[in-house]
Amino acid sequence: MESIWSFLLQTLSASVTAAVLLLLKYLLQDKLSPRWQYGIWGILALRILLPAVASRQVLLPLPMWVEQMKSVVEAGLSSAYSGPYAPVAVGHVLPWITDRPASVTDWLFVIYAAGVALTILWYLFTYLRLRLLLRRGAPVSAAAEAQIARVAEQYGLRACRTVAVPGLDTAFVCGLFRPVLAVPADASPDDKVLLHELLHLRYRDGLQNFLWCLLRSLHWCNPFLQYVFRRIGNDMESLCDQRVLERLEGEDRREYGVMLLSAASRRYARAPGTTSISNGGRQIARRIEAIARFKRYPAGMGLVSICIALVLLIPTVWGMELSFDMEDFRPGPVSELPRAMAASRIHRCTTPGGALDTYAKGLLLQNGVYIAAASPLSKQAELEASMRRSVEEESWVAYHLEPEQSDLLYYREPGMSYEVIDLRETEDGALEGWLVFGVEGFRNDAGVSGADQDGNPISGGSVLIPVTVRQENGWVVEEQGPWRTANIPPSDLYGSNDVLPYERTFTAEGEYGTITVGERTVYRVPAAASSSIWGVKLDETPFLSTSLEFVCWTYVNCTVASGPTRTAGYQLAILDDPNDEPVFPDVTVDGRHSSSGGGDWGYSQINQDGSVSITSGYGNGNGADTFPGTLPDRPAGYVARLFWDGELVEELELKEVDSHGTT
Amino acid sequence: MEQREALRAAVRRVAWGYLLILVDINLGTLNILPNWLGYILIVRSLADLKKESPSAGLLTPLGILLAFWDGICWIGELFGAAVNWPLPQLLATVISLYFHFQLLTNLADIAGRYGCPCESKLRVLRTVQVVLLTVSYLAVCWLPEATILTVLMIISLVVAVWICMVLFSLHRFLAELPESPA
Repeated sequence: MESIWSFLLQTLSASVTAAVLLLLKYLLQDKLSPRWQYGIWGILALRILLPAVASRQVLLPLPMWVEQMKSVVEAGLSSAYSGPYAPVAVGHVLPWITDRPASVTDWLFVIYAAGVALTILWYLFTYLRLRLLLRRGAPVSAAAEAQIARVAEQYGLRACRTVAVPGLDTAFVCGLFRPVLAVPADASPDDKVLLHELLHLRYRDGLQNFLWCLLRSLHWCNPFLQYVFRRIGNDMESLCDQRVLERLEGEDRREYGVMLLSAASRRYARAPGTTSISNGGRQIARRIEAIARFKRYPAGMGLVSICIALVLLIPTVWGMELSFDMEDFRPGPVSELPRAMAASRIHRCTTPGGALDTYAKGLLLQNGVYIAAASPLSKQAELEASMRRSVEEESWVAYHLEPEQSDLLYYREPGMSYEVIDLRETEDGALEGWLVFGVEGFRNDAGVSGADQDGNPISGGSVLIPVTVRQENGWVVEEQGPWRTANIPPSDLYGSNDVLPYERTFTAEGEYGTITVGERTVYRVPAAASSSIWGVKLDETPFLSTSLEFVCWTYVNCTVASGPTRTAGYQLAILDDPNDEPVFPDVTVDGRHSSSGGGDWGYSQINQDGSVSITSGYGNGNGADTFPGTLPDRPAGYVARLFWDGELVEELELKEVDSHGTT
Repeated sequence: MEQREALRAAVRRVAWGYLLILVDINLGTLNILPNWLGYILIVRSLADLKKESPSAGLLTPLGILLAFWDGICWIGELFGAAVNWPLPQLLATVISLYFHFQLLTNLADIAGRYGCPCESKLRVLRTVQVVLLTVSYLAVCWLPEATILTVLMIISLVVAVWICMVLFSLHRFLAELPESPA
């Protein structure tokens, strides 16, 4: 834990878990035995030892509440340990000071950390002081030693070193690894008291007590958890009482209860690693009630006790996915803005497709919170400031793109939202590509739509944004340059065009012709997420974890040298591995028809001037991408066969070239 | 004799109660076999069952809680508003685990006392049911869209029908039992 907010999240999570356990214990107090009543606290121990996760909730949306509170409080402070836009992260359960405190919240955390250290030191001090006292204790008399040995042997237990301490009210066991049994020097303890202490010894209750003290010190300033830890100590004693009663018979059991009552007013040793039959009047009253229920607990409840513990484990320790409503991402009045921004910090995009989808919809719907959820956390301040400014101007939260950007998207095509073209992996593991929006036209200064920027009518256009998608608190999108426009719709960008070079180009020039293959990949949100075949309706909410379907488009252009008299054609073999033997399509390229093609083959009749050019394109492969995994497999290469008048004339191995045509 | 008759009536009510709890038939948003009614029937029987198996009396407050919670959920579903409160849902899950396990144990004890052969079936069914409920809960939490959920649902339905059949056969056994001489 490195800030007061991470401690707050951790202690609140533990408190909720403890409250649930207390409630269940109350409902089942007379139904499940003291073994379950104490053992179930193991769930609380796990909860305290495991750091709370901001994306998971323990029955209540605590991460959202803490994140919201933090952003409001820290907005006016200059904390060295956290910031308004840095999401709460617990990391580990021990307090850790990373820098000098610079704000009130920092000092609160320092005080908390100091409290943990001082509490642990106090526990160590009281334990060592008691051990020193016991070291000075006198050995017990031979009669007392014989009594202890007899009780141990009678019940099959192991004894330990025993000392007699003057002025001691009641016996107790102290020690973690070499425990000592302390008995009053002035009186001989009852056999049942010895049995109680020996059972503590047998089940290492001193060590358990010490561990509980350590956990207690981590939450020293939480009064509710301090109360819970007292209850845990009492449940441990009740379990020991249960074990004693199971070994006693008849009148001895009643006498044990009477003896416990008489111990209610006695002083008792209080230190970590120490267990005593007496633990205070109030606690003893509870233990008497538990003793009264002895033998009335239903038998055979072992299996259901375990099942109950398993069922409790998930929601209270592991937590459930923090649920959210998409309305959280659409603030109206400014009072909803902190919650919305907190949601954007907690609910991050978990896939590259999710980040692209959320970011694209943020642009289309001009929703700053969507954009914040898919942007680096460093952008949060700027985005929130922009939305707060709009409140002053428009009375509600709004986000506006730059005017020129807003104009470009003004005539976006309905039902055709966006596509992602040519995603490729960079050296540092990020992805880069183009976010492409289809528009009916552009709004020029004259307010004419369906036209290009100069007012000339067009049949659709595209807005292209170069983006990078990388991992930073989930997946985020960053624009890598100015927006570009094209006077052709997105579908026309797939083939050869002047706007976007092919993602990859392979070419070969031979004696009989030249063949070029261009590749492009197009990604879209799966059709199942929308009612349209391509893209997503604009009013759909972002899918923070969506996958993207892809289609690999391959375009082939083949020009042949003069020579054939009727037809020219090609066949293309796609190589998955450079060393593969090319496998050509089983198609006769003989030109019985005027022209035809299947993408990986094609032919055409010779033009009157003797030229022939064959162009075809085909889509290959579709399905949800495997992010986070790998981009779709791409061919390693191509081999082409050229045909003149149906006869094979040449076989060419295509080489990849860069945008300048260099191999 | 009156006690025997009261016991038979109690077992019959429990059998019908289980039928209402374990089997749901929905007409639109209306479940015509509401679970809360099943719990009420069972709670009404506990006083008589307690005379034969004392620990059955411990179930009364739990049964009332479960009836109350199911009633709220039933009303919510009727009006198309699903009740999605994690804390009460968790408490209800835990309590129902204990409730059904204990109740079937009590009924098995009663069956054993009267020599009914369905005693062992009841003990097996209570074990299967509690394990099934636990596994189903864990599966929903960890694998919400897995095929295993469908399999578990089918098994749960089979077990539910089987429990109802065994309970009705216990009732028939008690009804056919000759009265003990005064």
